Amino acid sequence: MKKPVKTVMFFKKVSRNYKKFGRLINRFYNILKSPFARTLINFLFTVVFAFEMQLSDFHTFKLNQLEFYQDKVHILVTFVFIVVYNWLVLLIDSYQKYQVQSTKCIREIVNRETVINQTIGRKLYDITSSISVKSSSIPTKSDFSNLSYQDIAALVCHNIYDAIKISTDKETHQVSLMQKFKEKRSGLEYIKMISYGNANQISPSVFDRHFYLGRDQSYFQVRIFNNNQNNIFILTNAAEIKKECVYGKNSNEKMTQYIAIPVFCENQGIISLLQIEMADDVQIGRTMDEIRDFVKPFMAYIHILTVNYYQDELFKVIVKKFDILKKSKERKVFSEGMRKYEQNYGETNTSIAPKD
Amino acid sequence: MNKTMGKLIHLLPQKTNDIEYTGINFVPEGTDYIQDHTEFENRRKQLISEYEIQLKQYINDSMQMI
Repeated sequence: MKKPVKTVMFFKKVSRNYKKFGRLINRFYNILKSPFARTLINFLFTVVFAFEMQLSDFHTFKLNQLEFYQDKVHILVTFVFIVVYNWLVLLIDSYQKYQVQSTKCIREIVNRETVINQTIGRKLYDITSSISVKSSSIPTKSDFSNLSYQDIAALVCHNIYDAIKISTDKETHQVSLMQKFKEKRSGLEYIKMISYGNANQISPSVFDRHFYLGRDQSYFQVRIFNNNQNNIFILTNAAEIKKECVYGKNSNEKMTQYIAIPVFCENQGIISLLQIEMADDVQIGRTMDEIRDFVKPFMAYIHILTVNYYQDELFKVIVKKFDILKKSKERKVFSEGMRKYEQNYGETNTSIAPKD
Repeated sequence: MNKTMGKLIHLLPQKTNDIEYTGINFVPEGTDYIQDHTEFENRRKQLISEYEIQLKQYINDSMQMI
């Protein structure tokens, strides 16, 4: 999707900042938008021009004489008006084209989001039906493996990658997801890339590499997790990326823009970080505002991730509980068996043992 | 009075329950997910191809509805 020209962005900013003037700009925009007003203005210009030509004198003086131009200043003024009017019309047309495109884009995102939700729904149904086939059997971890947070992250990354590909016509960017974990033995917290979306269908070298929250604080991502604030982080150029040390100093030479959106849970803070990495001088916006506007529709995907994270946690808890249930049931069967055996043992023992 | 108090059933989670709840390790372990590069790439490809088919179907269906 092409961005609107800078002048439109400027007018938009002015109308947002100054309310009264903004209302005037809006009214003006609405008038110039309508085809009736445009036809009327064109007609008026023609009539005025015709009158002006009639009123001016073209015979007394020649073209190279200064007096020739004395009574024709009004024609020049009308001419300037026509140029300005046409320029405004072109601006408005380009803006409308941008609006149509952005509506199309949002519709596409809604469609894609719906299909992700349908996929999740279908997989949840599969899990439920596979669990409830045998009423007596206790579900295990493998019953829930059909749907994981990593899978949903793969779909989300793929969709955002595709959306950027459609809008920029380039394939050099990458979308990835960093997730927070805890080491079982040491208890140390670290982040690692669990999913990505890119063109070359090769997993990035940083996939599954551990960045420790305590030790690797020079990395930008680690600092985001440590600060734990629910903000969108935008680095607009290569110099900023180098300064903030995204993925370390050596690996980010190609990157030209970097956007990080946290997946934030109320009780836990940042649990994941969605990263958009632009490369090879491809940009998704010139300013912070433009980038933020571009990224806004992707928030729908962030909400999908948040809900799915909770769901994943629920699955884990359920699996643990089922595991406990299974073990206790086995123990019960074992102890019951033992009791029976002991009883029989006693009985048989008595039968074998010589009677007094 | 004390006897009747003892028979009250508490519906809200108790303090002891809270401790149990926080005791569940909510920060996941890295081993829960696929760690191998090629294994994950294959899984990703499979998921995306399934998803693209469904997306096409959905767009066709919604066009027919309109």
